[in-house]
Amino acid sequence: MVEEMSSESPTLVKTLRPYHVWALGVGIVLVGEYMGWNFTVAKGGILGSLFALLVAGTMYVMVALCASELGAATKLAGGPYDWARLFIGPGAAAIVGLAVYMEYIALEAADSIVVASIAQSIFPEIQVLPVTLLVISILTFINYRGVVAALTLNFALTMTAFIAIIVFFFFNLLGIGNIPWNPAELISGAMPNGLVGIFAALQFGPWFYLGIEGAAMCAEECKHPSRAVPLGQQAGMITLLIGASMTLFLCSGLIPASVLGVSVYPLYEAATASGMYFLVVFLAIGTLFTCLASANGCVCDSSRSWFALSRDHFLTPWFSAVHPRYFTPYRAVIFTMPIAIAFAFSGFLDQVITFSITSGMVAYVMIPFSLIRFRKMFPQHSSKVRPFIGPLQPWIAYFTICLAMTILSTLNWGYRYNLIFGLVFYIIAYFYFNWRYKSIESEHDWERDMGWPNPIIHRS
Amino acid sequence: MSNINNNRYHSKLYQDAGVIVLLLALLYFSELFMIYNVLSTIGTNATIPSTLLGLYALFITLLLGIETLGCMGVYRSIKKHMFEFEYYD
Repeated sequence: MVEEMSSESPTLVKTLRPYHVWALGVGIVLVGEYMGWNFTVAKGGILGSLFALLVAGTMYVMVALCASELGAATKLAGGPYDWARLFIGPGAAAIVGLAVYMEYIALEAADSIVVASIAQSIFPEIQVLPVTLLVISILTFINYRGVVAALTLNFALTMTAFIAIIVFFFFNLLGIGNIPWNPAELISGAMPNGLVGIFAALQFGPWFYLGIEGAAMCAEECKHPSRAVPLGQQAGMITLLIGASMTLFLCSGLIPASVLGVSVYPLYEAATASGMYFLVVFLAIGTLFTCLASANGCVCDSSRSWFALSRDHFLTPWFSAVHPRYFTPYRAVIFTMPIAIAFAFSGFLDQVITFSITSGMVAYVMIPFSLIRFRKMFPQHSSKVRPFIGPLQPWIAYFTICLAMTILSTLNWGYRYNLIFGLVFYIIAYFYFNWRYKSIESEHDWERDMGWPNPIIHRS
Repeated sequence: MSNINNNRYHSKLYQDAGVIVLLLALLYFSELFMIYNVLSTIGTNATIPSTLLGLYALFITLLLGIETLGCMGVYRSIKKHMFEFEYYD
């Protein structure tokens, strides 16, 4: 299908490098380390937050390895959607495509609202909703004009925000400015709700890393995807793990646990507690930049997911057009705008974010499952089919599914109806698209579509 | 293929490896430093259930171990395919 289109219309331009992949992945996620992760503290205290950081971190390391292997092999823009389409089937592909789209579009809306709220805190006379609309419009335009410009901007924003965390950590470690890291803050909120609270904290653990799998979604636009995707994605995953541990260390020793658990901007508040003006300004800039980078990356990823769904006729093919001058999927990019605005104007930010997490968890079950199927269908290790081979597979894929389902189940504490709504939504989508896709196309030619030999076993 | 500069390719490969090794070193330091400080500070004033300590040990081992193996896999993959796919041109 990709080859068919390339002979008739412009295709996505292949110019991205590993640092763009890093910028896309980390750019989307780093905002979760500036805000959101601290709800783990409200549920399980500092020990619960540490548990969530490690368990979710382990799951995401494995998800990133599965995504690296699949992305380097398939080199397609749809990412998790395309992996499910190729190796599982149409119903699974559709729900993954929708889950990824919803995950990123909801996150874009939430990020834009936060940017507008920060702007309002600086200039109280402005209104949040018009600024939200302006932010969404500007980021859509940047992504419309070209992926290189959009991800180079993301690199600058994300690197600044990451350096802010590193500088804050080492200032604290070296005692520069007498930053008072106070063990009493840590001890007072160690484990307020017992072991149940520690387990419940898992539901917010994904905030540290939510969306890193999206780094592989620019594979079709990479100059050398078999190098850029694994390298950019693993570097991104390590960056997030570093940021997460430094953030937890700083915030747990600078802010009382009772305040930390409900804080809107925990890293910024920790910087304020440090009393150093330089750090306060740096972390404020980091907070703003990371929200912009996240929203920008979400426009990129959600549009690629929509583009891929459209290209395969799950949606109207009208959205799969590539701009003849900028080589972007411009209709899919523009269409992210009304959906993000609808989410933003719904007024239910926490519901939007929870739906984003539920959608992400659905994707984290399907990504490793796609890898298990991929390895069964194509066991050969040729450079054409599988240029990057992840370690310990398929065992870590099975373990990832177990961890994702465990974390998903913890949404039962406090978000039961969101969980039920999300699962019902995706079950209906599964059956609808399974039926619809079979009426559109059932034939799949691996040589024509992927340049691969026929699989050892067939999909279904 | 014949125009490929071997020295340049190996230099670029070492640059890629250097970035990952630097990040991995920072990861080991930050994770272990944070976990040690949090657990030792809380542990001196309260009892942490041994089951929980075991789970912390299990997951930090898995996290660091799998990530390290993954990075080694990335290095091997780039080294194996860099001339075939002309990564550094």
